[in-house]
Amino acid sequence: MSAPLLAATGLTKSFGPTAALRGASVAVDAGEVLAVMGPSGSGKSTLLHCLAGILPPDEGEIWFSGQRVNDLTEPRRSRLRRERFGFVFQFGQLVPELPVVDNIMLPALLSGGRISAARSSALALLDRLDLTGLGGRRPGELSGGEAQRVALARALITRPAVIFADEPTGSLDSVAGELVMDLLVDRAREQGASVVLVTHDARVAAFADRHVTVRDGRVSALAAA
Amino acid sequence: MTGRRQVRGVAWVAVRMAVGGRDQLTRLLVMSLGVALGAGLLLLAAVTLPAIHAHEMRDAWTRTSAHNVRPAQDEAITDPLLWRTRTDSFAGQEILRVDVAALGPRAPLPPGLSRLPGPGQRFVSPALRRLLARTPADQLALRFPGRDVGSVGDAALRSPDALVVVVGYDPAVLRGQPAVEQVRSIETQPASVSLTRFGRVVAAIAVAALLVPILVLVATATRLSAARRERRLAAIRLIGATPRQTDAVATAEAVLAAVVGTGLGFVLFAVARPFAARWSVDGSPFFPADLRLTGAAAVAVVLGVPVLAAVAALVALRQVRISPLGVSRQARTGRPTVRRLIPLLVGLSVLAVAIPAAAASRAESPLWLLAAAMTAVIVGIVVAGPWLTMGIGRLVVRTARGAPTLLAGHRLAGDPAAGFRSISGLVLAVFLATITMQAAASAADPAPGPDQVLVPAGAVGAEFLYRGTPPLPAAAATTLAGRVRRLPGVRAVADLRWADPAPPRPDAGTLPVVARCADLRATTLVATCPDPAATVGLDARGLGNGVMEDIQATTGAVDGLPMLALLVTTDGTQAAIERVRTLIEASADQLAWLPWTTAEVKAHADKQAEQTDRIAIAILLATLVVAGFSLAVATADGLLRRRRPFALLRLTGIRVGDLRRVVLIETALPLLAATGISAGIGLAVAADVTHASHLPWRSPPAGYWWLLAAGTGAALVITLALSLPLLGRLSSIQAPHDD
Repeated sequence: MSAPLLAATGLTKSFGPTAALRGASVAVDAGEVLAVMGPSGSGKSTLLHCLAGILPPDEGEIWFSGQRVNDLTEPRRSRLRRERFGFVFQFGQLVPELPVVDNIMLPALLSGGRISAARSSALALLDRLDLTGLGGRRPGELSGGEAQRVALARALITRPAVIFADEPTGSLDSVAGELVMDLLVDRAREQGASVVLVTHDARVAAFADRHVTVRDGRVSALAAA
Repeated sequence: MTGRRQVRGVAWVAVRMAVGGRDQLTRLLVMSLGVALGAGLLLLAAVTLPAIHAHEMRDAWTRTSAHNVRPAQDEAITDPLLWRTRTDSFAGQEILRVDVAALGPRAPLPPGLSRLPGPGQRFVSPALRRLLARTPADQLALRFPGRDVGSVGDAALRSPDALVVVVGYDPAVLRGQPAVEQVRSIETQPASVSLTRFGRVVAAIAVAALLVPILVLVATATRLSAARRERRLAAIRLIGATPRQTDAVATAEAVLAAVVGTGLGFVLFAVARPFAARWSVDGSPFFPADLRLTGAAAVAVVLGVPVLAAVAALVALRQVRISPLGVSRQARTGRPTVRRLIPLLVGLSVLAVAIPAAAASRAESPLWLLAAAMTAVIVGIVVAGPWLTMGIGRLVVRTARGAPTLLAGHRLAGDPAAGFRSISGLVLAVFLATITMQAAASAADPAPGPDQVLVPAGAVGAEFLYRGTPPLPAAAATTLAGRVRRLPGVRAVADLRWADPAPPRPDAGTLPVVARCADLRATTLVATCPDPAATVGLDARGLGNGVMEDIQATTGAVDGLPMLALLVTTDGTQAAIERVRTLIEASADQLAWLPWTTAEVKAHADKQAEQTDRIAIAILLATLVVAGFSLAVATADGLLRRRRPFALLRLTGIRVGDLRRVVLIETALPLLAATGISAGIGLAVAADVTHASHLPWRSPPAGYWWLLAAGTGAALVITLALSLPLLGRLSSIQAPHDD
């Protein structure tokens, strides 16, 4: 059995006196879609932020593709996020001043990609995500579902190894949410990317290969989907 | 290769984020306009000092004497030149009159002349020629004997409207007359090297007064809407931008605004330059060529402003923590404490030492010490400001009776640095302008005491007092007095005669002069006088300064005595005054000082104070404009930064009117309090300046306080007028979703 692509063991993380993670451990295999579930305040988003190298854990280890993420400097972790990870958060985190196509190009350009190549990839992703013709719009001119698909396109442009999705349908109605999830999972599988999906919605979690539940800062249950 | 492309990619992101849409362009434009105002003023300041120096350089030849410091000619090979400069007046304008008589073919030639005028010839400046053309000859032209043979060129003119006449004489006529010197060269040493100690102190303060608010404006403008920018930076941090890349994006936007603003600043400068040339900052307008920007100044502004903008952007970024999950303010080490007063107290202490040192020395080092101390005080005020604001906020919270007051008080107490930031520019302007105006008030000539009020308004005086030269002979005096009496508009003539056979000594203190009592009464020089004539005491410094005292009856014949001085009262019309003056000058060439009026004597005595006043008012107005703009930008930025909380307050039912009151209170309260305190500190520093300069203490004139109140009020009104409509839009119930 091969080593997991992304693994965390014994993670602890506190914000002041509040402990968000208390020894959480989790592993994600290459190409796997993992749903992280749990009630509000359980620590599931903190776990995702630690796995993605956004927040350094207080204790514990995080390994990605054979390298210990804890040991990386902030610029190296930024590079990791830029080149190997993609993000789809609840509110998209798009830059409102930039048109859609520019938002999608951003990670590629920050990585040193050619502008023309980045634009071609962005336009291709727009087609693949049923966003054809929306490249010139600003995020404020999009519906919630469209904005999430743009965020997904931005996450996919660097062909990441892992896509982190934190409540990606949290601000959408069920129809739009289902469409976003379909596209997220399908395109991730097309590119061979793993997905770490944080949600408290069982319908969203149903798209995953495997579920874990976070409760009181611990990954307390493991179950196959 | 990838590295270079990465840089290019970051640059592309920066440019797109700066100018990618209408909102960004609007923001960039506002930032650029703020920078343009600052850059334009910097450029004007940069050309003003060299322009004033150019005035002094072109004025240098008028200071020609037998002992020139920097002669224009080799005195060993020139022939002598008889030389006399006198200041004449017409309708309140000074006319420089230079009388010359060459004693050889190689006599030195003053600048601006193609040759020396011979006897019966004169050169006049273009402005004087125009004045002569539109003025009756008996009011002006008859003063200057001879015919025009040429123009005095720009090289000899302080300003385009300078009134200058160079009159040629026969050496035999000019030799031996009062105030005539024999010179062999023309002076080129400007007066600035002998700038008074007081002048140097004022100059150092003026530079700080102008520069600091401009720099604050540039820094404030480039930080406009920083909060929104920071949230965008957090978004690109999430997708992998490194802190250096976000620094680069933020800095690039500020630098772009600064570059555009600097370019607009040059345009502003070019547009304002012709108007600035007409601005008599040192008492005279400038030739447009005087306001020529030097390459060094242009380069300093072109490089300095963007660098300042970049530094301001980076400093602003250091105050926040931009993580991939959002923006948080850097945790403060604690609320401002009384320790924040320490830099201000240190600055004031250093200033207390530096001001006397600068005033007592002509060396450069005390000036640098003074500038450093002034900077320390300014920094001290900025550092102490949040502590003061917090105190005001707590006081407001304790005394609040309504929600708006309570919210404003909590805002001031909770984030005093933000509350003070918006008024720091105005506070500095008030502090520095108060110092300058007080110093100017103290430098002004003291008002005459009640017993010194001597010469009535509208009177023309002429004196034949000069280093022991004989007075005007009796016959000529009687003729002159008679002709003056017959001029239209003349009310009375008092001719003051000299009874002593020896010429008067100017250092004698009080000179006994003889006059008819009827004339003395008619000219109101004295109220009571024993007829028919009296000997009265005349202050040897001249009619304009002295009092008539020790009145004693005398029986001698007045007409048989030579004339020492003449005082003519008129109907006050300019024509009457100028006719009297012209007749006296044309009739009596041996006047060392040309006839004067009371107003001219006062204006001459107050010249330095008036110049300082003019500079101070100019600086105050410039700083009020700059600081008002800073306040408006900072307030708008504060609103943008709090867009979400304001919108959420609206959602909870608070009315826009209440939010307006919050903004009004939180802007006005610290502004008014800090303005008062800044003025107080300014007065304290000014007291040190006047004490060190051995000048009497005088409060700035009432006009200053009115100007200050009106300017501060106007800045507040403009700020609120610009920002309150923004508040309505920002706090709309859609706003929480806009981000």
